[in-house]
Amino acid sequence: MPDATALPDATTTNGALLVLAIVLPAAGVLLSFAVGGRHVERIAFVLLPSGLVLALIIFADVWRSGHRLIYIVGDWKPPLGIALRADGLSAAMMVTMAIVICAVGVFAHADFGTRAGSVETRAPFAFWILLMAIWGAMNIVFLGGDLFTLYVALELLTFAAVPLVCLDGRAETLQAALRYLLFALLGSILYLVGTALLYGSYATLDIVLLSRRVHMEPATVIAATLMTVGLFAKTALFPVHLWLPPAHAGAPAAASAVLSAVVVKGSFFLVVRLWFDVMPGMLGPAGAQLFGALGAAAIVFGSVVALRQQRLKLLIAYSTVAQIGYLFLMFPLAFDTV
Amino acid sequence: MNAATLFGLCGATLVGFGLYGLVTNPEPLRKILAFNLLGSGVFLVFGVVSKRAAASGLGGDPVPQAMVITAIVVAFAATAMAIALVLRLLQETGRATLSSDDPGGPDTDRGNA
Repeated sequence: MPDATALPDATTTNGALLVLAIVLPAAGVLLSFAVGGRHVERIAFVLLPSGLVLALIIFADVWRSGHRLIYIVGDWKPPLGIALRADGLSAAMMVTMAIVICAVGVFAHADFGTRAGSVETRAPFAFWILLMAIWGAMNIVFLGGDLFTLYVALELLTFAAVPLVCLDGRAETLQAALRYLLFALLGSILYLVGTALLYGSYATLDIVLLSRRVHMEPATVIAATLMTVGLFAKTALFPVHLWLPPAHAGAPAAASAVLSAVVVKGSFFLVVRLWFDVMPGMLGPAGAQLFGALGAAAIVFGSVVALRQQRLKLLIAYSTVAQIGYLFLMFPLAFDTV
Repeated sequence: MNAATLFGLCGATLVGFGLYGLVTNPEPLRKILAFNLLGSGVFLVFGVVSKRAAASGLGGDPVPQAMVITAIVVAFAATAMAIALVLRLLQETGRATLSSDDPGGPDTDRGNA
């Protein structure tokens, strides 16, 4: 979207909607802790549909105006402050994710609903809170305008996703959760090193400013490589997918749906942001082909292993590995035409 | 060699040690410690970035410092969560290991791949 970058960075009308999209889930989580117990599900059932409506409004606004929605936090301009931006991609992703999360909420009502008169348990309480936390973290991933905010969002996402893996507390799910956490931590710390190197070279982490200043030099290449490898580990792309099948297969059905459909896309979205927005055109044909090759390997490997599984949930988990591969095929497709 | 270079090299060394430990150690607790070592190296790199970007009259650029505080908090939370998982695993199974097979062999490297 090169024409959009030429616009001055200022809060647009309706920019406050972006803040609402982040504050609403956070408020839901805090409120759930405050009132606790069986009200949590009710809070989620009010907030999740309103999140969908909010995402649709943002989408309609971006669609109609053709420009990005921008909100400058605290009116501090980007080199120092933080901007929230919703472009077409993030608006579309927000709507898709809100639909998925609402569907999961409806489905989870059967598993995690608290019926009148029944004893409260911790698993439903945790589930609804974590669902709202994932929704909030994903919104920050989609809207965050600088790389460090995105790092924090990525960590929020991990911290919300790991407990979902071990919600029922069996030993093998705890192991899967721990392995997932270690992979995720390695991934995000590599991302953080890349952030430090980029800040050291260009003195900003804002995506728009960075995309104007960035140029090919060793520090940039190293930073981009580290960030990409870290994000691959969190997305569970083929060679670093080992954590995903046990983690997703051990989680309760509703939680695996969120983990497969939403959580791995958070880090994938950041890969897209990095190579399309922060460093447009810097992923040469060779790099794009490498991404595509990894994606293709993931499709073949994931599908073959999925067919050999006995358990249905493991089959779906390996199928998720294959689906992630399809996402990475977009890089050679997109950069061949450039 | 000035101070920034020295600290930068220290940070790089810590990152190297931490990464090696995280990849090769099969023990979850050691992996967590290695992650903290790795994290400290990264925070040191942030400090170097802050020092190098210092404007005249300032000791350091405050933006990386603000970031490193956030990153330390995040790393602390991550460590606490990992330790809680290890403890819970120990309570459930009596041993804290990442290998999904039965105990008895140093052969299981699936956990740390």
